[in-house]
Amino acid sequence: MLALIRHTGWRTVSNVFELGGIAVFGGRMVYQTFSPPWRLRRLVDEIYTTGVLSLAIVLLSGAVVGSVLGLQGYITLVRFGAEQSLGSVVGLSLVREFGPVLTALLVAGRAGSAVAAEIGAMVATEQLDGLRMMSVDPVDFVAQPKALALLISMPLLSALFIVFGLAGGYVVGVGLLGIDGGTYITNLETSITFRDEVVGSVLKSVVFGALVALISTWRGFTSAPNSAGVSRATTGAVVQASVATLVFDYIITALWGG
Amino acid sequence: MSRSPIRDLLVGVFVLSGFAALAYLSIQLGGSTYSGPGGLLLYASFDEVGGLAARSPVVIGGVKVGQVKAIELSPDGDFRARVLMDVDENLKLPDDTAASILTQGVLGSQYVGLEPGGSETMLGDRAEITYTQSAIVIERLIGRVIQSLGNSSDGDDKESRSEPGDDG
Amino acid sequence: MRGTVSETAVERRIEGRAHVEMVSVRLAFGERRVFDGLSCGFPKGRISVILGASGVGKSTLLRLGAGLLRPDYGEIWVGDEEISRLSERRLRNLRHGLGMMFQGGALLDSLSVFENVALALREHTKLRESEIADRVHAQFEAVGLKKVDELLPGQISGGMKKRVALARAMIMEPSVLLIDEPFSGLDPLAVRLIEALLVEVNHTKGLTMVLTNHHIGSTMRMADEIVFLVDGIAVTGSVEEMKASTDPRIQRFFQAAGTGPALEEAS
Repeated sequence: MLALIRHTGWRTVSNVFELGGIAVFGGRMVYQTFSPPWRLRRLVDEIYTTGVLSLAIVLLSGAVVGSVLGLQGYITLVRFGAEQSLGSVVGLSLVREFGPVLTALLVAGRAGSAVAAEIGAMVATEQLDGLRMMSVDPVDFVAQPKALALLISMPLLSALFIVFGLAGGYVVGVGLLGIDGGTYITNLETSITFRDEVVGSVLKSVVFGALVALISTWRGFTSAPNSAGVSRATTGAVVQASVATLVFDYIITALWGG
Repeated sequence: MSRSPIRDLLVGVFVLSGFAALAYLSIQLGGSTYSGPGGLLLYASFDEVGGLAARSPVVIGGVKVGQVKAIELSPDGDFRARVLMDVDENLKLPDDTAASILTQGVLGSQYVGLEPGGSETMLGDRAEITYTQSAIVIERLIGRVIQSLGNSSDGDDKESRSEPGDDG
Repeated sequence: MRGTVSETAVERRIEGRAHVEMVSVRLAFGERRVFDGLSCGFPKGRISVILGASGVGKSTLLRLGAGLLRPDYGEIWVGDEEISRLSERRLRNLRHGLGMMFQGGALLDSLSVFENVALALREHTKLRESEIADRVHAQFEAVGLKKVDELLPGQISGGMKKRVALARAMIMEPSVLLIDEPFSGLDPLAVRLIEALLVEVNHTKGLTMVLTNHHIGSTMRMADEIVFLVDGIAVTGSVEEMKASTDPRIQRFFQAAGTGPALEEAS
């Protein structure tokens, strides 16, 4: 029993230390973003790996989720004779919650895990030490472009997810279920305001992007230099980034939507 | 990862389409005909505002032109509700415009509908709309229906005190 | 908790004998004590080989010399600088004079061979691309590589990786070369080739070289100084001194190395 308490205490303290470490790590990357060399070439390559290669799953999921929302929304609304409001139901759900949150979870799984794995593998094969011996800071050279790429890609992917979701909802609602197309779109447009919905959505996706970026790179850098370590780093990155996203989603929704 | 022009192109396409999506969401969806607060302010007092709340839309002929900024008890001491609306500053509304609190569908959310009149004088900033029509509260309607059913079964043809509303 | 300079260490540095020096170094990983008051020097311009049983800490000692690890106690001198307490930034400056070859090459697998070798030049100098290309190709020639520019590290053999790693370590003209297991994973012919290459580099450039090695044969041929790690400390000496040593631990090691898989290297 005593051991359990001691263990919990130790975990808590070490987690606090880790928070400090990750904060310093993040701060370094922010500083490096704004100081030369700019490493534009590497940034573009990383945006390809994290953003472009995530497009397939994000767009597909967006369309499917939008269709499901359209279907579910219709089933529920038709009971009150309010099925013409489908546009606003689909739109608000996607813009406020499903867009930023689901995109973040998908990106954490696809790109976040890849980043953690790649950096972890570089630790295991001494590539990062190799960089240090060439007087190059591995955080600046390896982690920062990846983190920045994730941060930039997230809001873009989120917006594309939403657009494809709206289209999915349109296809189901208008095409399959016979709602008037014009009403769908008008409802959509009137219920979404720039300041409340769109800005809030973009804010969320940027915050989630920062979380995934920070956690993935950190987990990669701190992985143990062997295959088991890399595997732990990869799964840890996905789990922690996902949980962090959901927690921050609540926080932002509570602060912003009220 | 050697230099690949195709990759660069794809990154460019990705970033551009991402921004296009953001632009669509911001302008087309978020903006419409109403670009945000900071427009013309108008007051209107009602007996009953029902479910109207801040940020409820203000609509002319089905087109959103603004939103409700605030609702408070009228300072004139007549226990009416005073609604402050923020509408598109380019609107030129005659001072005999009527403001009604309407409901989307039967059970939908409530909004303020404006019907412009024919007067030559326009409403200025912070002007008061005089012709108002209060919200219909479903519970009162049901209560009145039950009441009138009870009355007609008594044989009385009492005129029910009706709200100046259309739907019953 | 750092130690103070011992007299012998001062003497040797003043004489200019030791380019890299460990003084009373202590290091433990958790419960495991790796070095317990280890002192040794790697003489300037010579080839020193760190020998010892598997897991005794050969690579660890090398990493201490590179500044990639910090000792719990003691001092590490590279030239005139004590490096165990330097900040990462100062270390980075210092490392311009240090080159390191890692066991697996440690080449960046997302960059081509050319880009790997050119990296240090691109990061730290303002040379034009044509100049950089010239220098990189000169290095390739020096290590015996041809037409490898566009290849990725994943596409070249182990022996070629070592050569590329050497080229990369040398490109900034360091004064000390640290090499971790240069012969691991190589067939006997490749071992001879790399050995010849390293010796040539040492003779032509006068570089101080420190290797970890478990091939006895090449060690005997190459080493000017042997640093034998045992029981948490180091015993140093020339090849002759080691062979003639009466220390039972050294005798046991060299005897055991005389049989078994190491035999082929001794030929």
